[in-house]
Amino acid sequence: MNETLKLEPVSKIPTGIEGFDHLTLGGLPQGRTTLLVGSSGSGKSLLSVEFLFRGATVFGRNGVFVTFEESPNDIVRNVKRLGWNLDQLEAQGKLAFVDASPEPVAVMEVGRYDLEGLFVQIKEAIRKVDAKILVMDSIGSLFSQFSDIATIRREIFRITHMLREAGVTALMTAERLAEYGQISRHGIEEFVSDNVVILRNVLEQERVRRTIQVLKVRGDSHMKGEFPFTISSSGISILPLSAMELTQESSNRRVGTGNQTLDEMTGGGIFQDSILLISGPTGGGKTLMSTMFTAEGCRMGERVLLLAYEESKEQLLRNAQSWGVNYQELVDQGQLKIICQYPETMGLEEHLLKIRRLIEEFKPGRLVMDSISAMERVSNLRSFREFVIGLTSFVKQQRCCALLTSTTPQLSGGESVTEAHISTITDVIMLLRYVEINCQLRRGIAVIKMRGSQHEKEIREFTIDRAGLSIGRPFKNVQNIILGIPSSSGPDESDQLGEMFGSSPSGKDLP
Amino acid sequence: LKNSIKLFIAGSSGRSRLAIENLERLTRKRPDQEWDIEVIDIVGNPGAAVQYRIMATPCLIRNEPPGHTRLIGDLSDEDSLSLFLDAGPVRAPLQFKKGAPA
Repeated sequence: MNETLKLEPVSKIPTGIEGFDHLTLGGLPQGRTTLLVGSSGSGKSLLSVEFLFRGATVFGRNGVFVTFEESPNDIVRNVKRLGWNLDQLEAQGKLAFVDASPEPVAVMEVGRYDLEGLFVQIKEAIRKVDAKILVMDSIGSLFSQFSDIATIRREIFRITHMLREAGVTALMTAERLAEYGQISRHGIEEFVSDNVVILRNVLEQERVRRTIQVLKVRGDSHMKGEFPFTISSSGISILPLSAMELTQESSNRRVGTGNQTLDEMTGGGIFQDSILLISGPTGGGKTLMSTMFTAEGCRMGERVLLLAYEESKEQLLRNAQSWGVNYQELVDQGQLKIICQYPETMGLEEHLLKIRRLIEEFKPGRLVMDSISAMERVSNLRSFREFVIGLTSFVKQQRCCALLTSTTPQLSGGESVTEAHISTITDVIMLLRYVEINCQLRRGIAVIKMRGSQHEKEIREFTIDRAGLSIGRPFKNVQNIILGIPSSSGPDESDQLGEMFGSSPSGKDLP
Repeated sequence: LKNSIKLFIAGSSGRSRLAIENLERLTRKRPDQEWDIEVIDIVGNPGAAVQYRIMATPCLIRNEPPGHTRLIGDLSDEDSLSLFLDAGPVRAPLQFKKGAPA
């Protein structure tokens, strides 16, 4: 009987590290050694410690930490602030250390040797705690402790082979010198590992951008490319962003925008799980619309999470009060949560992580973000795009109705970077624009996109007064539109509007 | 004064045997000193490998006086091994006279 006939594909074990199992489509290959490479300070050690910690505490898998650089005491102390009590795990027999850190003794090589000592120590530790998982951090240090490279290579290979025989899933870290280029120093990947994960730590526009890439998993698939991650008080969080699947269920339930006319324009309100983008110039009514949207949500008994990036809480409360909405009361009732923060306080990855945590904790029915374009200030284009995708897909998964505002750079017309990146993934887009007619500044609103529903195509005039926002009749000059003569009989209202809105009216395209 | 030495080996490999032979040969060449040699096979005694933090084998360490040098390998280089063996216990502590340069 052929031996290879009985073989089954490699299964994976979850790590419990946020986003990692999603990225690797299941975790680390069981019984195999995965090489984790990264430059200095890229988070290799933390990721491997978290792998052991989560393994022991979440999945009941005991582990062994083989440390080649830091002493076990230092490792325990380093992660104390994260609330990971490795010493406790060690005392409970769930974790064992193999201290292979350099000692302050002179070692002289006299003749040929092997690493049987290390081998035996690792085996002993595995036996002691009945380990299922193991970390070696960082293997490259062996090459500086010993001079016989060929021996070291052979011994590392022998150790990984022993781990495989013992069915231990291992993570082996190694240094790399540059963020791009050779996978690891000493070429460890060439003789050890079927599976390679790369951590990067790149300075981009004065900001550190951490990314993780699964380079290969032998015999299985995984998410390709680099994904940003952050290191926070709860460890490593990988934000799989575009890896998110578009499998969210859609809802037919519509929710009110807080304005009756606007609900009519959208054919009865917007869908419960949709993302609404409101684009307008400064002072154009965006914050008012957010306020109405918030108040309507609270009125319907939903919880609302309001994220403000441009105004202080006091300003928000005062503005809402002037439109007859008492935010403070809603906050006290636990229906509303207001978070005011300057975008500059942290990187976009951290912002996203924080928002996700807030949504998970508060479980809002509606999310208001005023404004998402403020986030542009603190990031480069790629990060921003990832942020938007990560946010919107998460919001949808959580069945949350989101209103995002975007400030256009010009007073009339134009579009911002935000919109270029966000418009395709939003479900509803509303434009607020200033319209100049006969030396008068008036306001126009239009629904330009609404997925899965009919909506009004007209541009309506609206006014803002103490009662809030009143939407009036559409701007129309029926005669001129039908005739298709844009300029000879004087400026046409809708033509002007067309320019304001950055699109050409239907009449202009005719010869 | 005794020379107390531990030799860690892993099983009965050729390398282990070679190390034992080399060590015995060179200590026999020093009959004027007393040699207390303990050979520990870490395969049968993994606890010793953990206790003494043995990474590479064979590994030679000195107990008394506690040395700061370890030899690893099959001890096939006679000069290096002699150097290690001859750095034995100091018979009388060196005396320094206060404020009196030689």
